[in-house]
Amino acid sequence: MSAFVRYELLNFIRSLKFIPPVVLYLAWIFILYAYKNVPILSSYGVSSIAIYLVMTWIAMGMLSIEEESEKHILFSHLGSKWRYLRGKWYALLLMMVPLMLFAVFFPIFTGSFKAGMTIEYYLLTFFCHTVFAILGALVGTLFSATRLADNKYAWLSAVFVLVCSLASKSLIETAVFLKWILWIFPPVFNVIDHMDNDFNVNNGLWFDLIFVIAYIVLAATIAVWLFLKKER
Amino acid sequence: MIIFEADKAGKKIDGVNILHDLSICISRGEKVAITGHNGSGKSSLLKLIGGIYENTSGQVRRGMGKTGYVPEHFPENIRFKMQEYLLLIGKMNGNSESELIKKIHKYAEIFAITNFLNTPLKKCSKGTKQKAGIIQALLIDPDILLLDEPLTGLDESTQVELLNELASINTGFTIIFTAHESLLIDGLANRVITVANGRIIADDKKEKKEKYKYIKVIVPNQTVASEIPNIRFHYIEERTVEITVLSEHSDEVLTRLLESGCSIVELIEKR
Repeated sequence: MSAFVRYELLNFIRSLKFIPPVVLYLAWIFILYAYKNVPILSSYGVSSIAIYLVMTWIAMGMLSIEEESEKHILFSHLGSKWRYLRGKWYALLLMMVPLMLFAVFFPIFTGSFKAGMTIEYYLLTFFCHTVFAILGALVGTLFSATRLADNKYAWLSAVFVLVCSLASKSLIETAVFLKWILWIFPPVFNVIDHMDNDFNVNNGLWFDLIFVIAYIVLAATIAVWLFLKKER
Repeated sequence: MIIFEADKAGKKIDGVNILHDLSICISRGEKVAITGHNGSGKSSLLKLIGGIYENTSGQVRRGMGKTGYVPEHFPENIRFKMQEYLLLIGKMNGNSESELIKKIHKYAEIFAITNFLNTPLKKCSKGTKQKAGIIQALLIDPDILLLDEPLTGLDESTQVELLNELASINTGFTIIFTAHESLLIDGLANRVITVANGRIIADDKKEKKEKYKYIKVIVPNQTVASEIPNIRFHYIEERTVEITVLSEHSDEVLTRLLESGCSIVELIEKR
């Protein structure tokens, strides 16, 4: 599997498709910390949103990088299509690590925060960035590795999902009945709501964390099923 | 031992039936040619056998080991140098780097592409890419080799090289290939499946004739063998060379060897 992950990372890096999303991401972080004495958790909340959008973009690029014959050769060597998708996801996680580390440590090294970090802040920050990156990768997978990728509006649809998930809180405040529909979109607000200065560990936090993890497990299972259905 | 069995299997892609009602059984060691016109479903059947496609109707059972697959057209946008690509692909099957390098060089020599090992695949010619496509499949010592129109893009001498190479592999090895060319069907297949409109219309076992000759010869100098087309050769001593040649070319090769002052040591028909 490590050889396939290496193959994917080299292939993606050499395609230069990483440049636009990564440049956008870096610019976002630089602008976010252009001012000093900013609040810690809400700033990390914003960088989590950046990693969510950028990982969707990267995932769509990486999952659609091979032409059919290249993919079929890889299937034959990997022995299963599920191993192929898993290898892609490992490669995406490896892409995520430097992006997340940059978002977490850049403001610390530049002394941008008005207070010091605590263990709880680190844990919540890493969790938040990881969860957002995984949700982004799952949205990217859905619109580039399943039958939805064949739709000419695949990119537009992915953007629609991102926007709906980010705007869900405001939409529900406008029309309460939407909460019965919008739960299907990635639950970014279940995490980001805790990323403010009133942060405290309570039952609500645990409930939201468990809900988000359960959502990721379910979404990943559905993504695998849809991918295997497409590649039948 | 049965490696693939289909019972009334079908395959539908985007609502279109491309394979219907297939009932076949393939055993280990068979050399199966799949023939048919363009668009008849040859490649789809090959992919179904290899598990790249799954059946959408009927029953399919596979008992395959390591499978090497050679697509009809090698991918255009591989972003690796040839040796780098082959190493990565070989490592996916758990082979060690030193063992892989030896094999890569052996096959590169057989297919006469040693000079391209450090060339980016994107810059290689169609034929060279096709050879890389065949090497990536042979590299893992597959139990089953699936070849989709493997001679496409290869020059005549390389077609013979490939045929010799495939024919010299041990009999337990299963080869399933699609082809139009009689060279590969006559030279390699012991069973021919004919496909038309997604259905099998003929499935014939074929008695494979003695098609190759093995010639052991003492040469006056090492340039003689390299100047003869359509042969595969390697030196076992400084002046002694083993040559494998298609039977139809053997008389011509023997005449040329004798005219060049060579001495024939051994001549054997090969299966």
